[in-house]
Amino acid sequence: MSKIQIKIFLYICAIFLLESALVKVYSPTRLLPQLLFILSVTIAIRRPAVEGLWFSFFAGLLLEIFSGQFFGAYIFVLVVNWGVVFFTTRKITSQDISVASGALMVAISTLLAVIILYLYSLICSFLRLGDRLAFESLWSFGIFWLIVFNLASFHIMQFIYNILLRNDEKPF
Amino acid sequence: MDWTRVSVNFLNWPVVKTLEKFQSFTSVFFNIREIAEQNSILSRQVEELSLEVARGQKAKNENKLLSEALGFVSQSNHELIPAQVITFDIFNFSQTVSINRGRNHGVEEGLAVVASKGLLVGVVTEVLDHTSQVELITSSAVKVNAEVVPSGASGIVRGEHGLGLLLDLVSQDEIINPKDRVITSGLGGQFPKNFLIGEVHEVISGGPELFLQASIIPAANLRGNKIVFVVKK
Repeated sequence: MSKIQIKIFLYICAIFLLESALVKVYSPTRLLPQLLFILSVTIAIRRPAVEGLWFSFFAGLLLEIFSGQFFGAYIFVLVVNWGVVFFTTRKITSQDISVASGALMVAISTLLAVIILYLYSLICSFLRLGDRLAFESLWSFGIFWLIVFNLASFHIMQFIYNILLRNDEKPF
Repeated sequence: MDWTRVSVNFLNWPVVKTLEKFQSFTSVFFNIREIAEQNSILSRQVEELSLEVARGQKAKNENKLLSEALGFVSQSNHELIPAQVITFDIFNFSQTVSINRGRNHGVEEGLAVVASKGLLVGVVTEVLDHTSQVELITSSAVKVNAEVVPSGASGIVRGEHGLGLLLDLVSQDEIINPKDRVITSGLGGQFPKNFLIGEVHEVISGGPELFLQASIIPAANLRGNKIVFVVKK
């Protein structure tokens, strides 16, 4: 593992601890920013394909620890989301995203995550691994606030990421 | 998964504690409306409880007063009509109080009014069917034949327009000392004997005057009496 990879690995672990602590302190029913999810978006934008994919998988695996969904749901969501963000920033937009495009990316990723989670539950129910989630339970006005929280945390996490890797990562 | 959750919870402990402190600090700002509502509810409860406490205290005082009165009634040799003071002039210019017993209860004009423990309060001056007017002993219109204990000196106690009591017309050869008790002598027949009027505060004259005078501190709390007794002859 390179120095950058170790730093990102530790960053993921720290964010996971913070997110799980947030869920523990504030009720899990309350809207909280999806810190690890947002970090995986950052990694998808900034890191190469294989590395980003592994980190997204690892972040999903960590989220599975406290997940109440079907096993693999978060891994699936983060990996698919990594794919969407990775190919968008490589094929459609630039990797050096502006504030507006970053915000759009986070908003779309957040909405997409809900849809992916629903699709995953559909697949699981089709395979008779569990019951399908009700779409209404995932889709509510709270998503708007979730996007707002995610946007705020996206810029904070980008800032910390830049500080952590300012000497290791080449600028775009 | 359980051991991983336990491990994560263990690692999380300092973060959770820090966040909990942060939460309790910030909750003040986020729940300001709720806190304001709780504050208003608690203020209302404090008011209600204060009222309850005041009522309880009042009931306790009344209970004490009535217990004393009951003890006095059972010990007294006189026929007593218990009454409640219903009006009292706070400035007490008139030196009168109204009681809730009148002609229908056997009250008559000129009867003595005492408080529990046999403390002289005044005299009935006006009687209606259900209420009566009582002139306090501090009124200049009331004169009581009195006796000083233990010297046995006799004189007249009269009010000084609500400013206190004066023992007058005591013979110069009598001895009166401060702290001596002054009681009704029973002379004249208006006031039964042996009711306590007060205590000698200061002997005023002693020079060329014809009679001795002494200022008296009334024994009864004339402003705070709630329960009094009309003494039937």
